[in-house]
Amino acid sequence: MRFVAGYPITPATEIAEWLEPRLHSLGGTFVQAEDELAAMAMVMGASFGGAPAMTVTSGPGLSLMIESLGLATAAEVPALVVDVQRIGPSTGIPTKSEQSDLNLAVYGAHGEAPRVVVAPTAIHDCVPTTHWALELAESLQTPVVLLSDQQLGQSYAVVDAVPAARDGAANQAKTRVVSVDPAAQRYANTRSGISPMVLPGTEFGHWVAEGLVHGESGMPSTAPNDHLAQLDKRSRKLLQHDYGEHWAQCIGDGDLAVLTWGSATGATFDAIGRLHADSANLRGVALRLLAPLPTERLLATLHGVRALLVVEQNHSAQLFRLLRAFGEFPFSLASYARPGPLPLRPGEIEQAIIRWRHIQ
Amino acid sequence: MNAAARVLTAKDYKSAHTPIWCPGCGDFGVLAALERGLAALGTPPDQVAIVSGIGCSSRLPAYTTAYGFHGVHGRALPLATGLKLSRPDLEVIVVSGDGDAYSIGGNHFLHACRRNVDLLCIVMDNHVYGMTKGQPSPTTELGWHGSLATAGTDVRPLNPLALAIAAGASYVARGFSGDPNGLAKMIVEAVQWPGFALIEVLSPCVTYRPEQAQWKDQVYRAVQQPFADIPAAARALLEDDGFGLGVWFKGERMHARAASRARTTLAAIEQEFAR
Repeated sequence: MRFVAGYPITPATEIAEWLEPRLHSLGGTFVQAEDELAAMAMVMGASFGGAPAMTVTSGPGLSLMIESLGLATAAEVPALVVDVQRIGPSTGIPTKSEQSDLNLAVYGAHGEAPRVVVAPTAIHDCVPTTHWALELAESLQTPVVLLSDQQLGQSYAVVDAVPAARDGAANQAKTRVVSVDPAAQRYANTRSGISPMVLPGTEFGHWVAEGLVHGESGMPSTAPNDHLAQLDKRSRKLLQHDYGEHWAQCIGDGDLAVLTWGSATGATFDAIGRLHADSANLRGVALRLLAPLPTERLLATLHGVRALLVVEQNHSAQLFRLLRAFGEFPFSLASYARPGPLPLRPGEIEQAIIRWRHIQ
Repeated sequence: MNAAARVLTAKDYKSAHTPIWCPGCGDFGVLAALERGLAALGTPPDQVAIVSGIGCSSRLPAYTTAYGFHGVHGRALPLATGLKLSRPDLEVIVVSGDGDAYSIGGNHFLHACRRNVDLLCIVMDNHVYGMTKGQPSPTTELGWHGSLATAGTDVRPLNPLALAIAAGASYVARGFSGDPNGLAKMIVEAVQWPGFALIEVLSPCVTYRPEQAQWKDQVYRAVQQPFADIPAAARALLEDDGFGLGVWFKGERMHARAASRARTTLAAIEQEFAR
C-alpha cells in the first residue's frame, strides 16, 4: 500500500499517525484531506492510477464516505476503508467501543452496491487481516471495508511477532491484474466478473471510470440489459471468489456453537474456554469475512450443530439479523447483543451461554 | 513508447462519442479548445487523465481519447489530487461546472487552491444548473427568475476568481467558450504551470439561460499582464463585472510536496513488528 488519505477522527487517528512518516520514508504518499468526502475520493484517484490505497476513519467519517463507496463499487476501483468503530449514532461516544457500524459497512449506499467487509478478531490479527483486505480490494477491483473498533484500535497488548501478511487462497490472485491491451473493454462481462484494467498512461489505451450505469466499454447506458449485466458481474465476482481459510477463526467442538466477530472474539472465546474447563461441548466461530456472508462455509463448519448463539457488541443484533437475512440454517439461532460503552466481558458471556444452553 | 514520433492534431483527442449537450452549448467550445491545446502541447491522449464530477460539463471526459474518471458530484478535485500525487507522470485535468466546483464541491475547491497540487481545473461556468433544468447556481446573478427561484434569486453570487486567489491558487484565469483558440492558448499555459491552475470559462447555457447568447458582446480582454501581487489581483477581480477575460494572476506559491524518494525499506518497517 503506497497511498493513504485521511481526516483526523477519534479513535482512528493513531493508524494515520503511524502510517504518515512511514509512507513518506517508503516513497509513498499520505494526505490529510479536508474532509472524509475528499479522503475517499483521493484514495480512489490514487487507486485509479494504480497505487494500492486506503483510508482510515470512524463511524461519522464512514457515513460521509458512503457516496464514494457506491462509486467505487460501480466504477470497480480497488479501495480499502478501515473503520475503527466507536459508539454511534451521530457523535455518540468517540472514545468508547461498539460493533454498531456493521449494517452501514454492508449495506451503506443508494442503489445496490455489494462490497467486501472483513474484521480482525484480535489486536495481533489487525495487521494480517488488513493485508488480506487490501489483497481482496486489489484482486477483486472492489471497495473493502475493514471493521476494527476502539477496543482493538486503542488498546495495548503484548503479542507474539505477527506475520505481516495473511495470504488468501493459494489459487487466487493477490494483486490487481493489470492489462496492457489498449483495446480491452474495461467492464467486459467476464466469467469471473473481474474485467481487464488498463492503467492510465498505457499507450493507446482509453477508458473512463464511470459511475453512471454503463456497458462493457464503460460508456453510459440506460439499456436494461447493460444494467442487469453489470449488476450480475459485480455481484458474481464477490460471490465466486475463494476467500481461503481465513474467513473465520474456529475453536472447540460439540452440538452447540457460539458465533461472534471483531473485538467480541476475545471475551467470547475466553467464555468458551471457561466452559470447556467445565467439560461443556461448545464450538466457537469468529467471522473475519462478514460480506459477502460465507453461508456455505459456515454451514459446513457448523455441521451437526443444533443451536447457535450470536454474540456481538451492539443494540440491534446486527450480525444475528444479517445471518437470518442471508441464510437458511438447520439449527435454531439466538442472540446475545449488548451495546457499549462497557466492554463485553467473558463472565457475562459465560452467563449468557449458560442461560441459553439451559433452554436448548 | 515513442511519443515523440506521434504527430498529434486536435482530432486525435476526439472520441467517437457524440456529446449529449444541447446544440449551441458553450461546452462544445471548451472541448474544442481542450483538444487544440493538448495537440499544441503534444501530450499524447494516453498520457492525459480527465477527471470530472456531475453535470453537463462533467460529461466531457468520454468525448476525448484521454483516460477519464466520471465520479460523484463535487468530488472531482480530490479524485484528481489522489491521482496526480500517485501518478505525477500523468497530465491530470479536472473539468467541472459552477455547481459542481463552487457549491457541492466548494470545500474541495478551497483546499485544492491551498494545496497547490499540479492540476489544471477548468470550470465551465454558465450561472445555472443545466442538467437539472434551470436552478440558480452559486454564480447566478441577483434577481434571476428560474426554477426554485420563482421570485428571483436573493443570494449574492460568488466571485470564484477572487475566492481562488484568497484560498491560495497560484494561476487564475478567465476564458470564453466562444473563443476556442484563445482558450486553447490559455490551456497550454495553464497545463505547463507547475501548480494548481484555475481557468474559469464563461460557457453559455443556451437552453436555460438563452440571454447568455449576448455574452459574446459582453466579454472583453481585461488584463494584458497578469497580476503577481495578491491584494492587487484580488482588488481588481472584486471590481470586475465578471466578464473580464485573461490570465488575472500568476503568483509564487509553495508547491505541494511531491511523492518523496524511498529512504527505507518495507523490510525495515516490518522489523518493528518483530521486535
